[in-house]
Amino acid sequence: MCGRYSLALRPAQVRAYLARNMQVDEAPDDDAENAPRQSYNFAPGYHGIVYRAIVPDNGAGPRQHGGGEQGTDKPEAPASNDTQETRYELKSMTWGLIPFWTKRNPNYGSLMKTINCRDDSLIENRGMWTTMKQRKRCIVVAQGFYEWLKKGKEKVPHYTKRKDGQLMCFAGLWDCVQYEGSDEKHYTYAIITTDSNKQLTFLHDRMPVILDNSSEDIKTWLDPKRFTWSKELQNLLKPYDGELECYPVSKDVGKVGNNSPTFIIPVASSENKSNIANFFGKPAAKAKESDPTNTETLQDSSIKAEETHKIKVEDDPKEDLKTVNQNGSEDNAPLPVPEGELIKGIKRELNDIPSSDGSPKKVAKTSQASLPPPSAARKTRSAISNNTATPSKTDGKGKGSQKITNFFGK
Amino acid sequence: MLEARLEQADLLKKVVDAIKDLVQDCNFDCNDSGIALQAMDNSHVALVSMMLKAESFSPYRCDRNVALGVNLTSLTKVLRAAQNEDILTLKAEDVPDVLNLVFESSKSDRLSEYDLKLMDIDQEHLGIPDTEYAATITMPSPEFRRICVDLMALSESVSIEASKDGVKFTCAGDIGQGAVTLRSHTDVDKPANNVDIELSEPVSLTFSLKYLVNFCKAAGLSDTVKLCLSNEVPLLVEYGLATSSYLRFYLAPKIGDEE
Repeated sequence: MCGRYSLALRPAQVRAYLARNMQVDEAPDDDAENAPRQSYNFAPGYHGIVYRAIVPDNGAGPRQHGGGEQGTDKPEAPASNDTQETRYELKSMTWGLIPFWTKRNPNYGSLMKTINCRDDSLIENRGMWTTMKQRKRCIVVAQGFYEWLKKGKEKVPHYTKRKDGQLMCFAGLWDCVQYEGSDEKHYTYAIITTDSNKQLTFLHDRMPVILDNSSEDIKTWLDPKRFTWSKELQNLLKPYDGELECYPVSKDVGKVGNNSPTFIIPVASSENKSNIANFFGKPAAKAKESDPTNTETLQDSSIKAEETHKIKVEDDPKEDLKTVNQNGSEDNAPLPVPEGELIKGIKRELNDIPSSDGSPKKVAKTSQASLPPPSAARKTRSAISNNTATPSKTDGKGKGSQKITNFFGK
Repeated sequence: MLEARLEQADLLKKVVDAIKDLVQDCNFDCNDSGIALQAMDNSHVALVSMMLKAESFSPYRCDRNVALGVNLTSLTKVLRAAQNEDILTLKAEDVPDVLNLVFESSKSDRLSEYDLKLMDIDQEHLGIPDTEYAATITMPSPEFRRICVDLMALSESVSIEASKDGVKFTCAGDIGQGAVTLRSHTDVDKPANNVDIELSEPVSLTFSLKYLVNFCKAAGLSDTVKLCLSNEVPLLVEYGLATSSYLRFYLAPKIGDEE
């Protein structure tokens, strides 16, 4: 199960980052309607960033007989034929797949059932995923994902990311639906899960399928010329064998709507300001400096993104608030790039429960200096937070919902 | 070989009860001076430090330093089998796989014996410096518990302000705000009811009430509790036990809205 992840980058940043070794021909505008949300606490129902080959809304391959669920073939989505080179795009989609045959907007509960798709449910050509797996495969972009470990009565959130600090590419499926009596098209996606790899079994028995950036696997997975399910595709869905980093993080991530860069900071690190260990002496400071190249990768891309993007005038993208209020509040916070190793838990007979012995050490404070100076009157957009884009029930700032007291004297 | 005989099982039962919600697994570090424990909670916000001096036991024998890695939930299950007045004996080999607990009834000839499987716990051990605190407040432990529980109803955090006028616990929440002020007070008949404030400079710090309420589970161990505060260092909540043994809790102060 993968029910929460982190993606606190804007589409332009993701694009700049992926474009170094992957082809990105189109990307959503940062401020467009339904723009992807940036959050360290990315929950189902949010608009996320999906990477896919550009194909018609009914998926790759030739049209199906009688399956003309989409009335028009949009010119912006040309059918892929052999002579044409495949083009790829980043697209804003909603997490929680809604199949194309759906007639009405489903409730949140049924949406939650399709945030993930088990790899073993794809083996046979039946069930709801048949069309999606054949024609609508995608990559879901994330920085890392969260999983909760039961420890006694408590549930301790753990954050997992790539050791090299690169973006994580989850194998996913997407779909496009148009409800009865509506012209609007809804793009949604699901993340495919598989068995956990050795490193993560202590945490959970399932993990998302992670494909390596710019790998052949990704090309194969997204290839629009493959529009039937094959063994080759199924074989891509396996536990990740690369290096991951996994460590306990702040419990605040448990509440959907909370958002803070501190969520991806290891609890047992000096960066964690509330870590009581920081107040006391350490027996041996094992402070490992992060590989400088790592810090650069993310930082670099954020600078690039900043450059290509220039300064945006603040303009709240109207996003549809699903079930939560987001209260991200950090501006200019550093993009932390933790470095460390898997927490250890060596036990004899009882359940293995990792004891975080401070091994995950990290280097933060990376991009602080490189961020553009905050201009007066908050005209810039924060690189890591979209706190401005958060309509909240109480703060009457949203368009069309000003407080009546704003008009009358007190 | 470790052998430690405790006149009343009560003590260990209460200590374990007081910390088991904060810490799941921890090492009991045994050496010739006694049994010590240090552990942080999962969120690394609080730290528990326990010391049961050798004098608390009779007899006490510990030939080699040994760390007993215990799951506190499991230990609680075993300790539940002991009556408060039972005589409790802890035994372990030099390189133990199990902790042996024997409960002898003081009244009858009943003898029960349990072996608790141990685990290897790789735990970070922190050096806690001796701090000269700016303010030291001693008060009845039920009083402290009451303050924390009362204020918890209003807010998640409490600000503790110690000045020459007394110590003030304030909180503000969605439904309103509350404050409890205590002044130095001497009860000649019952010294346990004394409120004593030693102050070298005024302090004001904010803490999570959830943790403080959790600490107060130790109130049954001692009539009085000692709060030690200095600006920008963790609060120390100490429950003194007999023979200068203690159960201490440290809590990191809340930082004003994250910078």
